[in-house]
Amino acid sequence: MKELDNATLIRQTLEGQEKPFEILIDRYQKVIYNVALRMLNDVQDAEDIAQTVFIKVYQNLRTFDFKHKFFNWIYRMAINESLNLGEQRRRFEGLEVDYASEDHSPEKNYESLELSNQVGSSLMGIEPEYRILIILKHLQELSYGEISYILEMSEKKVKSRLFTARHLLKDVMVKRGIKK
Amino acid sequence: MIDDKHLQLIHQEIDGENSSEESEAVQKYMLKNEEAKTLYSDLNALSNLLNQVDAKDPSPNLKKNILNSIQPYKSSSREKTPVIGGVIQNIKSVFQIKYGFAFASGLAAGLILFVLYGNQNLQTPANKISNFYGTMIPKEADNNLQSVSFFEINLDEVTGSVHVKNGKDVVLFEIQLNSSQNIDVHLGFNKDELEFGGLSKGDHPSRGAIEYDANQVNLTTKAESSTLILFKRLASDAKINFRLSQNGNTLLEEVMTTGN
Repeated sequence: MKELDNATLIRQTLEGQEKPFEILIDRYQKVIYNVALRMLNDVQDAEDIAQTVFIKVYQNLRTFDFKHKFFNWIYRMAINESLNLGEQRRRFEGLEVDYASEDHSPEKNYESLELSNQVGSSLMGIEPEYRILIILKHLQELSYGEISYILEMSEKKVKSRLFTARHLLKDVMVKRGIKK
Repeated sequence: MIDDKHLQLIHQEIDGENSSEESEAVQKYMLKNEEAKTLYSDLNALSNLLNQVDAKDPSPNLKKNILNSIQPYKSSSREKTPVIGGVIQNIKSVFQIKYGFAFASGLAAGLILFVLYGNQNLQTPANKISNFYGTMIPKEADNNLQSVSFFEINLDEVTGSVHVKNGKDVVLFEIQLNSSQNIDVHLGFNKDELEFGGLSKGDHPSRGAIEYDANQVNLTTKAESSTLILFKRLASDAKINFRLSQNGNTLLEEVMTTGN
């Protein structure tokens, strides 16, 4: 069966159908969850963000501009929500690392989980404005152009920040003995 | 020393963004510049390491929680019903929520408040929903609700307050908490006296899904949180057993009256 594009699913949702929005959730919940998870290093916060993002998407679906890509819109929303919540948490208590507190994939082997935790905690060692570049480029595998659109900054600035982010992350990992 | 131009080419090489000419140029440069070669090697190792990190699966409940959360918005987003009729319809749907996991929004509170305070200037239910989403009761609207129970919490583990307010057919339970660790909040009630209707998250949201069934609502908070929980009143002398706990240890337990 032909896979429906996002614009069609949005139109069908706006017409009152329920299934199309479920397909959008299926399509993007993991991506949004992972962006938030890497930004905040907290599984519960990441789920809160994913939930909030989809509620806002649903509430604001009528305002969606079909000239733009849906995934850029939802990415941007997830990033903004993550930055806002991260800032709130930081102001109140400082971020804690409880990344390993909940894992929904028990079949994952120890090494994979360990690596994931090390990368997760190392990412928290760099500022959010650099962290997001690493997440979008390396973990979400987006192009410079896509990152530029999502973060609303020039490709030149994306490259510059990404390169700095890599150096910062490398330094954090070296300090933690993760990388030689 | 690596010049800026070649530094950029090294990074672009890592990202696979160089043209064949640029790739050739950077390879040649690394042959005669040991520092550039080391940097490329380090960045390549970093990139490979990051590429090995698998995406995590969210909780299997996430989709269900999202669908539950947007349920109250459905009728208002689909069709333009008369304001009062649409609101009442939404309230009914909120009160028909059955058992399971849910992560409710401020819709129920917003709609109830709309009915209670009857603002004539409202345009559509959707506008009203967005106005109330994530907010608590406006101070100026408080007059129509009667405060029936209030106390402050001053424990080592958590501080804050609990406020129970009484409307005609509703009970509003306001909880404001401050804690550095997870605090579990339990509200127990008799299903013949109260029915859970929904909750509104404040500026500092409670964490995770709320869990509820016919006799209880449980949620977990951390840091600064403010939550308004809405009940439909089925009996005039309904009581709520309020309990705070941490790691299974009860910190505080109070039976709160909701009657006049």
